[in-house]
Amino acid sequence: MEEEYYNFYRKEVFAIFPKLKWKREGAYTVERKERTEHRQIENASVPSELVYPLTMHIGKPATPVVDVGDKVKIGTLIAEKAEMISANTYSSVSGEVIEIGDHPTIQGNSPCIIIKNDFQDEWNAPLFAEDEKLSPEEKLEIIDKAGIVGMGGATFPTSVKLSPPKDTSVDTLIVNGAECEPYTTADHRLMVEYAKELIEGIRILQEILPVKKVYIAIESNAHESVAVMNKEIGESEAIEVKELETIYPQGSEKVLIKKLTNREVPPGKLPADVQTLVINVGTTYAIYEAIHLGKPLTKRITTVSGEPVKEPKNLWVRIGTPMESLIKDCGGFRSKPGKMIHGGPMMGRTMNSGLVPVGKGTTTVTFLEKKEAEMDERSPCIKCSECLNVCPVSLQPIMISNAYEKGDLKKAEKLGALDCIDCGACSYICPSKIPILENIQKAKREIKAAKEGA
Amino acid sequence: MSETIDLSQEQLTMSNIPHLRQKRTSAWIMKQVIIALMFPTLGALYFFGWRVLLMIAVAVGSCVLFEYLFQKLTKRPVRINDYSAVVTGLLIALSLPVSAPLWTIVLGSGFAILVIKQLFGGIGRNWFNPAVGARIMLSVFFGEQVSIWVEPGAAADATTQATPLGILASNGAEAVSSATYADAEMPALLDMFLGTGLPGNVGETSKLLILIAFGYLVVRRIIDPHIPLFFILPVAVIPLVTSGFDLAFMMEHVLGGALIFAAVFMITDYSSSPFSPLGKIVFAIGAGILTVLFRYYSDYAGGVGFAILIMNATVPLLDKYLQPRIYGHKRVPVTARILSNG
Repeated sequence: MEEEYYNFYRKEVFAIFPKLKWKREGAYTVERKERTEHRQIENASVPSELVYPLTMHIGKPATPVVDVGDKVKIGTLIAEKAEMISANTYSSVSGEVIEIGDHPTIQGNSPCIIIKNDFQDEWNAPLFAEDEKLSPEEKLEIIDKAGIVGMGGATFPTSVKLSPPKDTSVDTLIVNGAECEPYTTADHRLMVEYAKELIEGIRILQEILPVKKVYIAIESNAHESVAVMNKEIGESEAIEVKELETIYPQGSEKVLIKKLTNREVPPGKLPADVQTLVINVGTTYAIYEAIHLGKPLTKRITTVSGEPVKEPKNLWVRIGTPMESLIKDCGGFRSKPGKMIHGGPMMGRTMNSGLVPVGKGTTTVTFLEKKEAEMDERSPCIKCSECLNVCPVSLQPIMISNAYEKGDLKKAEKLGALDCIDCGACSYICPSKIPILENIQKAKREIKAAKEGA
Repeated sequence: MSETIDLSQEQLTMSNIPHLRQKRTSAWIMKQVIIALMFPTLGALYFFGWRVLLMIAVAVGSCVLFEYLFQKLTKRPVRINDYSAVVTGLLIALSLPVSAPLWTIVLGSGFAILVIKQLFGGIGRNWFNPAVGARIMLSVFFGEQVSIWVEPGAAADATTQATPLGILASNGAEAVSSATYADAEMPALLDMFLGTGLPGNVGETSKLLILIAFGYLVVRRIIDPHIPLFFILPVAVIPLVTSGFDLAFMMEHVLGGALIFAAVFMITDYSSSPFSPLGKIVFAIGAGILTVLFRYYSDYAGGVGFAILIMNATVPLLDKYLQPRIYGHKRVPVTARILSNG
């Protein structure tokens, strides 16, 4: 009953607001979550060969520590973090290393470790002895060892994020469950089905970082998870669920910090500089598994969706599983796909090989139909100023795009090209189909290149 | 395992983000404006008869034709299918009295499309609002021909009627400060709102129909809902204060002349208004203040149009000095921007 009221208000009464035109720092994109949002997470089938790119994280590629012919188990370290900003990589099956070499990944062909699955599913020893009592510092070490990175797609090493510079004092932790990409429901299902484990994960984070306040940020279209999380938290004063408007890019780090704390991260600074840290819910779950179960990061939840997919699903996927295998699990296609995207349709990367494996940051695999994959022809700007209205960081996107097309990099920089967070809301809404974000990104690259060259 | 899926057989396109785009196009937006303009158009037909249809046909036809010819002759891509010339034509026809000779409509359309729109670079680049420019040009050079306001229903050769604003103006400076307008024959406020028996430009008389069009444009997210209000605000507040809080006097200013029509269709024009959200507000308020000044201190009938044209000219400045504050940056005070010249 309550749900009905809620949906009535959301769909009928408040439906008027997205239609009003003014500056609102975000775009009301399509949501298209209805095909997977109520589907329980299933286990994806495990293929006979799995592929582990050495770059499933931001930073230095990991260094292989196995050779061809080596036997591995689930949880065997196969590549070691190379530097401070890098991450360990573990096997997600038991079997044998059969190749170390270039293989298709989301970054194109790049070095990977390929393991042949023996389907025995034998586990390696846990990350630490079972009855060991861990101090916060040791817990941070285990998070580091477990190869955990930002699982909302950014893949920044979590242990580095959890060790902010000494001169900063973080007082607010934001657990990011705001999934603003269309189609994506992985985090939503995680919150609905694993609320208890997530709260345990948050408790670990509270030990490592003694913050005053923890916010769990959830978009209003994931209403079910708000209720579940609230029930699990109970009376805690330090942890609070914040239901946010469904607007793209609500889940973006800088946007979330502003919406929840009214703080803005200055240019060139980190969230920790404004006493805030943002951790994705998927990452929080991985932390729970590492600390409570001693398991390194070997699996994740991935949503496979899009109009062409016959049976879209939320899947527990072993890291290293190729895309082909996921689409088989979803019953194949009901119409011809025109685009395969690693991530959501707003910020994801297109792929043209089904051999690309699921990595640590694969939140979603989106398929778009042929007709949707085609872009309309560009026409002149009509100055509707909608790109200014939707820009979450208050840039004037079309003016940067114009400056770039005129070759005026100086003006592009002055207009704040480097402050762009690459969300693409401007290109999404542009009625003249101008590739605004593409131009801004090119401007950014050229400005940075010129600076490094100088 | 069911059928084998070979993704390499599918023609998968690679693209830059975002991979999805909103459905609406520029042409769709223009079509929405045309739909909204149908409300005042129907009113014009009802009040002023079938000649309105002829006026619209001539205005729209010549706007589209001029745009087509210009783009053909200058070997630019022909973009008449973006419907923007149709909107300009409709606006020109609706902002003229029913007695306007057809040649003035053709002349105005040519001026709007060729001089104001295309010479500045075409859609999205014109500094001035084409329809407003055309209307002002006509009233300045051909005032006699385009200032004969006849009462609805009357034959075209019937006696000329004064418009409510004409009465306000001819009552002179006293009207600014006192309520002496009462002894001139002001139409009832309800007639001014509904447009019944009201002389004027064909599309501008019924405020009710224009407000319905406003609602449509707001719900369709074509225009900012608050910008027309900021335009009307000074035209309501200043007469209210100067008349010693005479509500009727205020309403006559608000409902008189082209104000409401311009608030919905002219002030909200994309090309000739600022980009920046704050600039838009200043633009609208400025045009409102200028409108009052024109009405108070000039007996020229096109005050709203002139006010908008003057504010059109300030748009580059407003855009330069009233830029939005970027996330994480400190606000740069306008004075500092002016001193640093940018």
